[in-house]
Amino acid sequence: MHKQLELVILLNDLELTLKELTEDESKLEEKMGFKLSKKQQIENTRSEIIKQLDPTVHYAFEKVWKRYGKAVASVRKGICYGCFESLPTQTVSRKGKNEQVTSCPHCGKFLYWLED
Amino acid sequence: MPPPKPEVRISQFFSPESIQLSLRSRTKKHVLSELVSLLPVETASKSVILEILRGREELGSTGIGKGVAIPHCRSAVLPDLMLVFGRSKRGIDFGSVDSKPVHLFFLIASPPIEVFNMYHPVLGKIVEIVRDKKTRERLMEVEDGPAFIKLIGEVLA
Repeated sequence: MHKQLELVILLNDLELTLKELTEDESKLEEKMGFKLSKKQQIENTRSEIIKQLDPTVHYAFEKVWKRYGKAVASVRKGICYGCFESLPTQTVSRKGKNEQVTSCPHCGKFLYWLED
Repeated sequence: MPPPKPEVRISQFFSPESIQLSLRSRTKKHVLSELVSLLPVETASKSVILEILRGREELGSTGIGKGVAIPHCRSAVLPDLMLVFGRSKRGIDFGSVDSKPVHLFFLIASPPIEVFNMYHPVLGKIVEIVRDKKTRERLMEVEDGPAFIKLIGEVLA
């Protein structure tokens, strides 16, 4: 997997975890017996990831995140699961898809290919 | 009309390959890695899942006490909700709420969005299973993967 794509996915997943902390889901987890107290540490991890991100990739990430509340979409059978639009044939037929950073031409989310 | 939500059947998310009854790890760091290694996903995805799990642990340990930990996370690299069970007879220091070593590990890994949104119902069911002392004792005694799956099916019947 391309290092920048890995960082983008990590940032997306961490942002989702932080987002859940402000929603009812965290209360649900606390009721189940989980402690969710050390927010600062996960924010430091997020800052470390951002430092390693290419500025243009980070800019695109922020733009998409602000619009959709998520910045990564998985792809199955040539369909972006972020917007459920078909991806161009030339993109779908390419080899080593996760070895490069690609975005959906329709919604702009970064693509993670579940099948190569 | 949306499709009816299916009943949560925990046993359907396990396969014999996702059950390890003799964990070799002795530390929190290593046991997370050992549990992730049992997920049926490619190696690159495993490293992302491991990082997210570690991030989740930074928020607070998922060791909920009584010898049980339920590390859980969501990641875009996962195609479906997946479960792993691991057991350590020796016990592992996992920074649990009661500071006791953990023997029973349930790992839950899920994509951010799933059709039936099973993540929290599955998490809740597992918490329910392990609250029962007798079930925890039986989990410590199961001899193989099929016996584990049978037991999970029984306690939820």
